[in-house]
Amino acid sequence: MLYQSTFSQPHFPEVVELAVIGTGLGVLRSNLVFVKKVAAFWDSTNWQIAPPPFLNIQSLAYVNALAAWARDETTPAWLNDLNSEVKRPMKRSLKFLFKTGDTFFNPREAQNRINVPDKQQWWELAQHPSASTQVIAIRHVNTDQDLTQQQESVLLDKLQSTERATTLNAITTTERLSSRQENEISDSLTKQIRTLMHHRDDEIRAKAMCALTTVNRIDSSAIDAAASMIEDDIRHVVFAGVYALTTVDQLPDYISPSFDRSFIKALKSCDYEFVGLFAKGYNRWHDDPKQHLEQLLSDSPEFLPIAMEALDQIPQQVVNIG
Amino acid sequence: MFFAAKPNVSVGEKSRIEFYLQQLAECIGFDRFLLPVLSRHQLIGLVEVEQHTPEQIVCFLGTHLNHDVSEIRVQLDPQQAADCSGGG
Repeated sequence: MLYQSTFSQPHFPEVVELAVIGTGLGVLRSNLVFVKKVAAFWDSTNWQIAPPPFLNIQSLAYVNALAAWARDETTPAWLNDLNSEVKRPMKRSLKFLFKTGDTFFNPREAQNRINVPDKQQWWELAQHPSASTQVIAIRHVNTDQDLTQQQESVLLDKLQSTERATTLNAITTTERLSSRQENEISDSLTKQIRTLMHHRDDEIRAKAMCALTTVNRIDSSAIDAAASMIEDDIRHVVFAGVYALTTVDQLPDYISPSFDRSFIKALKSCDYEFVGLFAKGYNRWHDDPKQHLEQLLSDSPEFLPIAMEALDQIPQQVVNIG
Repeated sequence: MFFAAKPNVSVGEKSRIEFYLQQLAECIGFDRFLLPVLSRHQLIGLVEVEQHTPEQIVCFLGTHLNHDVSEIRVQLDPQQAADCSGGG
């Protein structure tokens, strides 16, 4: 049915599962646990990249709660067909939905429309009281021109949100609006994203750094933040720091030792994708990067062939940090 | 003390699920997301009753979804059948 309706992602099992449960056929599926813990791509705003293969227990519970709420069933008879692992969290969300009605998806009213290209609608929904509606709206806001003052203030407000998902999606959107239209990102938005480089949440820190890099707003404070990121233990934080540093023309001397340390760490852990990213930096900053790497790895010559190969492959490198 | 009602998933996950459900409903129709939820008894009965052929199961699902399934041909995977008969 999804193929015949030309649904865009009928090959994503998780989306098929949503359709099965949503259309009332999911009671048996909801009692099967295919995955205990789903490995997620580090950037949670990228829904299309590495989507979860199947719904996990918590997601199953929420979809079932939505299915009951949409049918106006406070205590559906089929609730007892679900095992307790799903039933308990589902009842919690069902109570929440009946109390607040807080959901973007409402098949009884079918008011919202993703496919209606009303640009203003998304800017208005970005200020909706529901956090999930805000997130969906932020992901869709667009403009053909420079941001108006009001649009900029909406984005700024979302970047300052205490809700993690809102902040993350606002960073992604700011980056998208800036890079697609070749518009200069405003100083106030830049300033706010710079403060997020020091956020306690690792994903927000990494995303803020990547966004500043994409929009070409790496300054000395961002370089300092990137320098501390490259010594982090979390892979996507290291990635964000290295990614940012490799775009500057000259690496400050005080950062070189930690950059070298992180590079050697990547070599020792056989993280070849990261090795390539580091190599890109060396290639940019040194007239003779091979000579630099030979000196750097004089005590660990076993890593030299890998480092040299990475230098040779710089034009084709792609870093997958899922 | 007052405790606000909360969903069992994070805002990020909630948004993602609601977005995809909306996208699905816009594609196959909102009405289908208001169809009665079939019970375990109904679904198990459907596959357990020996008289039900795979075609009849597809027909039942087609009726539930109000979807034309006349073009759907069910083909049993011979590899799967061989696996099932193995063991020992």
